[in-house]
Amino acid sequence: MSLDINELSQTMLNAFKGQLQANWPQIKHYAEAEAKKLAENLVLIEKLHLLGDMSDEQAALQHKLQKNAARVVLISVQGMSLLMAEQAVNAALDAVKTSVNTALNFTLL
Amino acid sequence: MRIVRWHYGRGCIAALILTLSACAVQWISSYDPVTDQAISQLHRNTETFLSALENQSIPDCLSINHRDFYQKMFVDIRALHVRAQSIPQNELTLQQISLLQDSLGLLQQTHVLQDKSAKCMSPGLIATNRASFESIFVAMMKFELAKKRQTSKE
Repeated sequence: MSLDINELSQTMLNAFKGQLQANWPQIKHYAEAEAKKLAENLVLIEKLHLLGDMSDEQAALQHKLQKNAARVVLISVQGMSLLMAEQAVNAALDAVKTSVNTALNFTLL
Repeated sequence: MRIVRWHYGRGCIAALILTLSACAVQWISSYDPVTDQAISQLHRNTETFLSALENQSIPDCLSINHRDFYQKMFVDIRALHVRAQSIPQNELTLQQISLLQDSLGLLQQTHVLQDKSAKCMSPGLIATNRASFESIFVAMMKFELAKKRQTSKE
């Protein structure tokens, strides 16, 4: 049995697409919701500062805390995207596993 | 010419598959239930602390009366960092733990500064801290949950 480059690439592409379509909307929705929450909190910090509920030093500390929170959220988005990519690659390899192993006559994948 | 193209095509497929099979196995650490539980526990401790602060008045709300909370939290976060270091491909989680540790320090500094005003933190100030820590903990838990789903599929 020989390997067909068009068939293999199409099978892998379909598997990639399936994984990306299933996972990306969830990550996007989470990132959007968190960006909104962080923006709201930033507005609240400014408001409290103006009202005198927090000193200049406290406002600066709270801004740093906000920045940390945003970085933690972005790291999660980055991690979840990498996991999604990992899943897509593994799904693509799984999709062509049988035909590749049969053609090569040994278990490569 | 057709033979050359045929060989080239097969070579490309083999190279692609070999590359993917060699390096695409795992980019992110596997799920670690101990890390997951530790994050949930740290979240509970933080929320318990902030809820207590909301209901306290001077002198109970002063930072000196909450030294045990800060000390225990710093110890627990450092212990979590050491555990996370022992897990391969765990750099992103390690960065998150470092940021959590730094954030706790910022909360403590805010609290110490508040003592100077001889007033407890206002509900608004507690709310901003709560919102920031919720974002941090939810993000860390979501990432762990994603790792869990991935690990269960493998």
